[in-house]
Amino acid sequence: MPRPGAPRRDPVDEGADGGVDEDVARLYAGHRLSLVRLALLLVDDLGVAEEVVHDAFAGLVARGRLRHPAAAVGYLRTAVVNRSRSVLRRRRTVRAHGPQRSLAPTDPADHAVLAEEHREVLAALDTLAPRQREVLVLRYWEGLSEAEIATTLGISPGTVKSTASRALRALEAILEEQR
Amino acid sequence: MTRTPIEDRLTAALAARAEQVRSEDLGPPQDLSQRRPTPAPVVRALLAAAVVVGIVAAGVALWPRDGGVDAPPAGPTPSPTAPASPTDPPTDGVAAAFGGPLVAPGDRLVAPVPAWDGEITAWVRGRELRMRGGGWGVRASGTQWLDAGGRAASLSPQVLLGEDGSVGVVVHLVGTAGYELVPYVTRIEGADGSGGAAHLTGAATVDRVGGSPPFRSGFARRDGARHRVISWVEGDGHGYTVVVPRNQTHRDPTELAGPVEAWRWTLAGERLRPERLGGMCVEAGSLTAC
Repeated sequence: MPRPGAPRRDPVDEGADGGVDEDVARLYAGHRLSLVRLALLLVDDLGVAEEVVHDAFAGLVARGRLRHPAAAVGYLRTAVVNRSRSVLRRRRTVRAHGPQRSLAPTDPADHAVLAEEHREVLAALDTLAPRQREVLVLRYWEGLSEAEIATTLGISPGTVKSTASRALRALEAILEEQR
Repeated sequence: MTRTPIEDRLTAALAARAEQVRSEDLGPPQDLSQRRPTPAPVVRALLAAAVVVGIVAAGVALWPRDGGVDAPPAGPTPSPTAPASPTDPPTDGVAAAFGGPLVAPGDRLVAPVPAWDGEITAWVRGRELRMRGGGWGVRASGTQWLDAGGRAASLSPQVLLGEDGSVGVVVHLVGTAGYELVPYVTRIEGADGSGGAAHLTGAATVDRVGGSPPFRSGFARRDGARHRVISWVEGDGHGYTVVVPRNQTHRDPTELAGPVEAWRWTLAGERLRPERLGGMCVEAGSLTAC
């Protein structure tokens, strides 16, 4: 396992022909859905989540032929988290400079059919800082260890631990407040 | 390791939300090789040099000269019915210049229509909205924009395709007045079902399509099962969503009948807050107490 917080081993050969090789095609077939789900939990919009994942794969392809396919999943996960963060940043900018009331870009129907208790938790999660949300999603949906989250987000395991702890406390407080 | 109750709740909620998406819900696989590979350092340097030379050359060419006659602008002549450029989009008034709605009220828009894939750019109320439709055309994503009226389009406008090649874009709008679904009917050239990029030639607004109120039909998952849901807006300004009962296959609220699971949407701060409505039936496209 790479040292947490250290630069990830580059999974591609830069300068290769840039075509979609079989390894990438396999990765796309095998991991597209799970990465879309990860992005969905971060950006809360299926269309955007699909684009985020597509761009992450396209970025991988653009960089060249896969040298370490095993490392590529981690690379893609990091790319998805980073691109999702950019989406959220853009949204915050739009909200900051636009009218005060704007849309939480979710599909109402998807949320409608979720059970009430899940909706409450997801709404509370949405109010957390982006980093807190990322840590919780990677921990409790992806099931990553603190070290793996640290590598994905490029932060130290200690920061992961403290962020997760604070985020859970904040989540609990929000839900408690709603009762 | 023992988990706390909040960890259990969070895990369950994340799983429920993530598992609403199944592989069959995703758009068709896309061609990853369409993106240009990042150029090698030498090529990057050459490109940078070319850009600098180009900027200098353009500056020289555009420098005003006394007595000169302006040459016509380069490039294709814009169609009289098409917006000249993304920076010069049509406004609502321009829609009228298109000769009225391209699909008249009463025309039937159907969704989904198979074998459409491409990107369309619509100008809705003066704002650019880009959408990439995939496969069955029932889902598209777009660039978020805000209009002067303080409303924001959602990131998931829905594209409906007409049998005549017309395209209906249903945009979800939210504002202080409530939740609103607005259909914009447009037409794309070359929508022959063969795919490829589409070119928008016009935009118009219709109040009702096929005699139905503006509505959105789609799918949502609960506990792994796929449910058809229909959303629309009532005269009270609230948005409503119903789950279509298993024994019915309608996609139009006016065709639904009988008891339904229903929610009412109210704008609360930045979010739409759902409120579960008990004992509701649908009658003639409206929710009523059973």
